Amino acid sequence: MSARSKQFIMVAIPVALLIIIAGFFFFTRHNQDLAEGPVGEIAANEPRSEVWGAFYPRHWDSYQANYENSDNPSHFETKPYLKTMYAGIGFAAEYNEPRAHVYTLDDIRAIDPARKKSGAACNTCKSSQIPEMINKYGDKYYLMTFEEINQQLTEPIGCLDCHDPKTMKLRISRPALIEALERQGRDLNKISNQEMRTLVCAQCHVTYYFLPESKKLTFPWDKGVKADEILAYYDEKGFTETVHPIAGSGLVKPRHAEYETFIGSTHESAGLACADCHMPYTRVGNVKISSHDWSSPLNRIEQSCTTCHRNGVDWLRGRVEGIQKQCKETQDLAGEAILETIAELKISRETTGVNQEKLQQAMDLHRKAQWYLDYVVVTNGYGFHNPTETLNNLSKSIDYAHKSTRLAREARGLN
Amino acid sequence: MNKVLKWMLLLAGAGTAIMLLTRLPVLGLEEASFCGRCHVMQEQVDTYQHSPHQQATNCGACHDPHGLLTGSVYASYTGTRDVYRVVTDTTPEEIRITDMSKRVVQNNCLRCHGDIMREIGDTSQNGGAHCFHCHREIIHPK
Repeated sequence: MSARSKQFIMVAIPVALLIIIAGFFFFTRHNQDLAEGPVGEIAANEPRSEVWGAFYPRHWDSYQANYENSDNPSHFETKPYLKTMYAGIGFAAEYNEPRAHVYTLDDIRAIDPARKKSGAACNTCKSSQIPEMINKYGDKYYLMTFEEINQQLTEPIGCLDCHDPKTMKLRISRPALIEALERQGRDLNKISNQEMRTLVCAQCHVTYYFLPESKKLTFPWDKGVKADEILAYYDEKGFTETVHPIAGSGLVKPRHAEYETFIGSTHESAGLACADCHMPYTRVGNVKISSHDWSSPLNRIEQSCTTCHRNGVDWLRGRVEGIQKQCKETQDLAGEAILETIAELKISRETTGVNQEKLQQAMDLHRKAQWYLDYVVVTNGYGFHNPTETLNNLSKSIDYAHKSTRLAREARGLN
Repeated sequence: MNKVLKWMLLLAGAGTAIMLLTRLPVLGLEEASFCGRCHVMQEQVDTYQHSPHQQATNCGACHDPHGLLTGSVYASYTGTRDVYRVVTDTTPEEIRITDMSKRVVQNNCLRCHGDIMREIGDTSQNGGAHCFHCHREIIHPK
């Protein structure tokens, strides 16, 4: 080897080494994972949230704050027309505003017994232990009595309902949503994290019904998730949940359709998820976490709203409350219109020689009118999840109620 | 042939050197005072100068990648593009961030604020929003 190439090697090797070491140093320094991974081993089906809480103290604290959300006034205080609308079903006995997720078991146990008749399926969204129960009993779960399942439950809604204990990733634990999404043709493995931040809520905050024979909990979304599409689905199946004892109309009952209402709203179209407003990133010490204190964003406008909307807390509160007031006012108009419908149907049914065809048409219209109003009433948020759609549904309710009233009167020869 | 190669190498070397100059702090090419020389940037510069970030950053801190080479290449490209737009009077009425720029800015948000976000991670991953999607009014509202 010549002296020149020796010289070259003497320089080249240290330089190459230096570059490699420096490259390695900067690569590892810049290549750190941002999110902290799971910090402890949690058993695959651990329903006790305090076991999870030991590893995630900040989230646990936030979850504990739910205990402060403990008011549950009766809906009848602000919406007296519901008593007559719900005649003949358990809701007429008691229908309260919901308390926090941590109270689900206390509240369902304290509820009026009239509402426990539907059976075991009522427990489905009340405890983290339910996926395990459904696994254990299979489809028999839905045919069991309320008590048979309820007495086995100790844990309210908690970590396991939305998180995978191994990876902490969001997951869907309730079969009804998985089945509904599959019927929509969705590939569950291709759902983005952002959509999961909505779908974990949609496991429970949706409308549902029990299949007539098997009592299986099912989401009526096969025609779409909007009020019209869901009613069309029920109409096509000829499904009627109850017959109104005064009006004689065959009714279907909507339930807390927060997810369905939110889809297509301004905020959803802007790419937001339920969690963006209901679980805002909140500073705890020197780190931010997703708040696990679930309640109205009006309780923490500064975290939920002012991040995007810089208009000030008072302006924002006024804006939301203004929208909710308009929806409530329209809701009450629809309620009054339906009370009138029910009263007219009652008279017509008691009248001899009434035009049966017109009476039946009037009852069918009452079914529609009550569907659209009830859909709005039972959905939390007083319309704010989607104001225009809410008012649109209420306008349909009022129109169908007026048409039903007119037909009910015509049926007995009045104009 | 050898001569052509020599010239090409020389030009490439000079070009790289000029590009690297964009990272030289003393030239101030990342400062608002420089970016604001184009009047289309006036609103951004004015609002930025009233924001808290004005105390700790400059335009390049957020809008350029932080690697020596990536940063200088990117800054040279965007700078040349912007000057071309101004000279030919083809600046868009509404200046919007490009997809590439979104990645650059997001990474720079996390370069400083990654620590506080360590539990949440990069929100823009997997269909989520960028930091500035919500915090859009913090730096320069316009």
